[in-house]
This record gives sequence, C-alpha cells and structure tokens, in this order.
Amino acid sequence: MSQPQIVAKNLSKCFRQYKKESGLGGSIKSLFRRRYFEIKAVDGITLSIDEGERVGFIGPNGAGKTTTLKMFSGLLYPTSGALSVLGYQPIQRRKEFLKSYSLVMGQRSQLWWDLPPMEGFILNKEIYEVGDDPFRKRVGELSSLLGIEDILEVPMRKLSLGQRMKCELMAALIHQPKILFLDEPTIGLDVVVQKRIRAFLKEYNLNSKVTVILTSHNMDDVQELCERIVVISRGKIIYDGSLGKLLQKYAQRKYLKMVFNQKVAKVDLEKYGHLVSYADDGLSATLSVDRVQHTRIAAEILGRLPVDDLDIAEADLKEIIARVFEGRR
Amino acid sequence: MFHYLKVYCQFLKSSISLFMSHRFNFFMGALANIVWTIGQLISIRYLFLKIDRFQGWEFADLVLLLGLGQIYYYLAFVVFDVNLDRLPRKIIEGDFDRMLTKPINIKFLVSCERVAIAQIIPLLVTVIPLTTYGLRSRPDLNATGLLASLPVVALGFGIFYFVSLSTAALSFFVADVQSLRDFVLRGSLNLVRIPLDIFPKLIQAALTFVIPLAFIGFYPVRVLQGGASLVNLLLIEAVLAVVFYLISDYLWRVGLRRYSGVG
Repeated sequence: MSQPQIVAKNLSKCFRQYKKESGLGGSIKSLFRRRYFEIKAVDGITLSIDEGERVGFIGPNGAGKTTTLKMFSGLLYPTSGALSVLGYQPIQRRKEFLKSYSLVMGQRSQLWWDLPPMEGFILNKEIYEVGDDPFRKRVGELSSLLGIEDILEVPMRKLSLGQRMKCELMAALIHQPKILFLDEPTIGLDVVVQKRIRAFLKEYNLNSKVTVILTSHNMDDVQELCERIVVISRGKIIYDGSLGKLLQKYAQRKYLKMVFNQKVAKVDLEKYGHLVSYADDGLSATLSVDRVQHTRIAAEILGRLPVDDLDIAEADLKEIIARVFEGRR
Repeated sequence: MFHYLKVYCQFLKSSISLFMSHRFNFFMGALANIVWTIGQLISIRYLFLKIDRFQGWEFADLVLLLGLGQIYYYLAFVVFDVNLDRLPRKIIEGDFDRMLTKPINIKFLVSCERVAIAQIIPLLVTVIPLTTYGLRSRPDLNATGLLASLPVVALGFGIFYFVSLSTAALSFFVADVQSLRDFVLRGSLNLVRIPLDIFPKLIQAALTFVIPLAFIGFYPVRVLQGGASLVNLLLIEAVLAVVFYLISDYLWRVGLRRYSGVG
C-alpha cells in the first residue's frame, strides 16, 4: 500500500466579499460604506489521495473544486484545517514542493502567446533546472506521445485551441511532476481532441505513476479518466469513492434498450417499467426499470417478447450528478 | 544565483524574439520616447537663450539632470517596470496563479519576466549623449569623481525598484493601483527632472523622504556640482534603500497571504 501523497483534514477556506447595490447610487454608496459578507468556499474537507491515483473533483459552479485545487497547490492559504501534499505544507511554497507538481488551467496559458511553444519549454527547463539531455529526451517523448512534433516552432497564436492545450500539457510535464493538477483541461475543445487528451493522460498516468487530480464539468473526462470521484457541493464532500459505487448509490434505475423483430404494443411494455421511448412502428423501445430488479425483468422480457437485441445501460452520469445536487438543495 | 542568471538570460532571449515579431509597434513606442526627450531638451535650450543661469543652475547641469532622470526611467522600464505595471491586470485576470506555481522567487518572476527591449533604443539614443554632454561641460569632474558617483546611481536605482515593487504590491489590497503608480513613479519622476531647490520646502521634503526619487536625479547632480557630500548621500541612500526594501517585503508577504485569486 503506497503512502498518501495528499492528506487534508477539516480543510476550509473562507472569502470575504462585499455587496454593491446596483446603479450609480449603489456605486457611490459603496465608495463610502461597504457591506461585507463571508463565503465559505471550502467547508471542512477531509480526504487522502495516494500516489498514482486519478481523482476527479466534480460539482456545480462555485462548489469549491478549484479553491480546493488551489489550496493543494499552495496558491491559497487555508482558513483552517491541516493540509500536507507530498509531505510539505503547500502554502510555504518550498522550492522542492513547487518542483514536484504542475497545475494546468484549461482557461489560462503559461506559454507566451506570440512565441513558439518551444520557447516556453526552454523557459520551464531553466526555471525547473532540468538538464540539457533529460530536457531533449522529454521533449522528444512528450511531443511524439501528443503528436505535436511539427508545431513546436510555430507561434502559439497560430495554433488551434486543441494544439495549444497539448502544448500546455507538455509544458507542465517537462520537469516530470509527481502530481498533475488539471482544472477543466478539455474546456472548449472538440470531441476528437478531448478524446486524444484523455487517452494521453491515461497512458501517461499508467506509465509514469503521476497522480492526476482533475476538476471538470465534462462527465466524459470523469468517466474515462477517473477511478475515483469526489463530489463537492457548497464546499463539502458529499461523495468520495469509485464511479461504480456512485452509480449504485444514486442511480436507482437502469435502462433496457430493446429492438424487436415484430411490433410490440405499448401496454405490453409498460407492465415492466417506465417507458422512456417508443418507436412509432413498435419495433424499438427503451424502458427504465428498477436497478435491483433489472436482471429479472430483462430475463422475463427475453422470454415473453420477440426481442432481437437487448442492451442494459446505466443512467447518464450527468443525470445522476444532477440528481445528487438536486437532492442537496 | 547562477540559476537566476540563467533564467534571466532566457527571459532576455524570449523578449528579443518577441521584440522581433512586433518590431513596428515597438519602434513607434521608442520613437515617441525619443521625441519626448528631444522636446524637453529644446524647452531647456530655449529657456537658456533668454537667461544665463536658472537659480544657480547652468544649461549643462539641467541637461545632466534630465539625462539622469531618463536613465532611471528607461532602465527601470527595460528591467522591471514593464512587468510591475502588469501585476494588477495579472491578479485580476488570474494569470498571477500561474506565476505562484513556479519554483522561483515570486518577486523576481513578477519583476523580470519580460525585458522591454524597445526601450533600450531611447535609452541609448537620448540618455547617453545627454549625460555625456552634461558631464563634459564640467571640466572640474575627473574620472575618480565619476566612478565615485556610480554607487550613488546604483543605490538610487535600488530605491526606485523597491518603491516600484511596493506600489505594485498594493494590487493585492486595491483592485486598480495603476493611477497610484503613475502618480508616485511617473509624476514624481517628472518633478525630479527639475532642480528640486526651486520647489517649496514641503515638496522638497516629500521628494526626499516620502517618495525619495530626488535621490535618483537631483542629489547625484548636486554631488557632481560639489554642492553635497558624497558620503552623506551614499549613507542616506543606503538607509532609504533598506527602508523601502523592508516596506516592499512586508507588503508582499501580507499581500500574498491575502491573495484570493479569481473565481
């Protein structure tokens, strides 16, 4: 059993903000007297993450995912609680700690807009004190894995969003970090690029044992990449475990997608569960059935109806997560 | 130290590449600065066509004062001001997060990430001839005297840097500090290009002790004129450099603790 790389105990972060009434009058008022209030962005989080894990932080906007990530990477002082990352207190920002992780933010770039990505990699090489030979080797390996050998000398501004994201990932991995924090890494990317990036991250994680911690609103990222999911709502962890267990806990129903070789009447299907969809010709339909009963019902349908094809599907992760959050409101 | 030197060399190389890709814009900016300096010089020359001395100051002294002020202005802009000016925006837009993750001194990174290569042009084109003229017109100045004035200039540059670093650190407390920086750095710098002794005592005291930019123009020229003691000036400058270093360090420490990033 490996040692936990990240240990957080009762970690909280409060922000102080002020309210400004709308309009010119409100602006003038707030110039002289401001009404402050406190926001608890992270509220008593406790968790530990082991080496090589791929963990997905999910939650609605403002849930506290990015704030948690920023505390883990030493950008924000926790208001209370204890935090240790790789044995360091992140906020002390010790050089060795800062060298041991990378933070990639999908909406921000660390590479210079007007210069080719290679310039940025060389700058990172100097900042992270990577030797010449290891640097050349890393550039060769990573650019080939990401399929970007041809664009290393092209100015960033001339690259597509997907190419830029790949370059950002490469810049983040030049110094071989032990932990990779990814904040919305696939935001704005097309489906093909998203898939390539996810495949790269998975392969890289398996080969290098880097711990990957990801926040995303894209459930495909979470489903394909993360073995473990941490669901955060209003600063609190409301679920921490595997995707399978999350589905067991919150997805009380399963879907039976059926194709028939002759017409089946609606009433014959509605006996088994809730009819989600039904084709006009009566040759295909989808039923939502109780999770616990789904195997029995499927067997019964197969025995009684003219089924050509039957597929048992989980509920859509987006729906499940939405249901989890609705339950919290 | 060697590590920082290597990183700075890389900043310099990247800045040169950047300069080459935006030559026209940069050249126009440099040209505007050259024209401004020439305009100042013409104004002084015009004044001295009507009078011989201005409250004890000769034409060459004022040229020297203008030259020294411009050295600090351009050098500061080349080395750090171009970066410190951007700090408030970086904080507001969240780019500062990226900087905080780097295993390098944050003040060094914030101050030196880009080198304003274009400003080297007005530095060379206007400042060196101006200062050379100002110094040549004073035959009483010898090489030793000039060498002795170098620590004065270096300490003055240090004071200027720490004042600039302190005002930039206020971005952690106030959303937009650019107008304050313009007032403290540019406004005061304009004043110290004029002989300080023509101002009322209150302004003299403010530019000596509150925003001590008189130490980067007026007092060094006074020393060269023989009107002030070099040792006293060095001592005061050293004390002010330490005081402003401590102020900037405090503001950065508290500011980083308060830093909340962007949502």
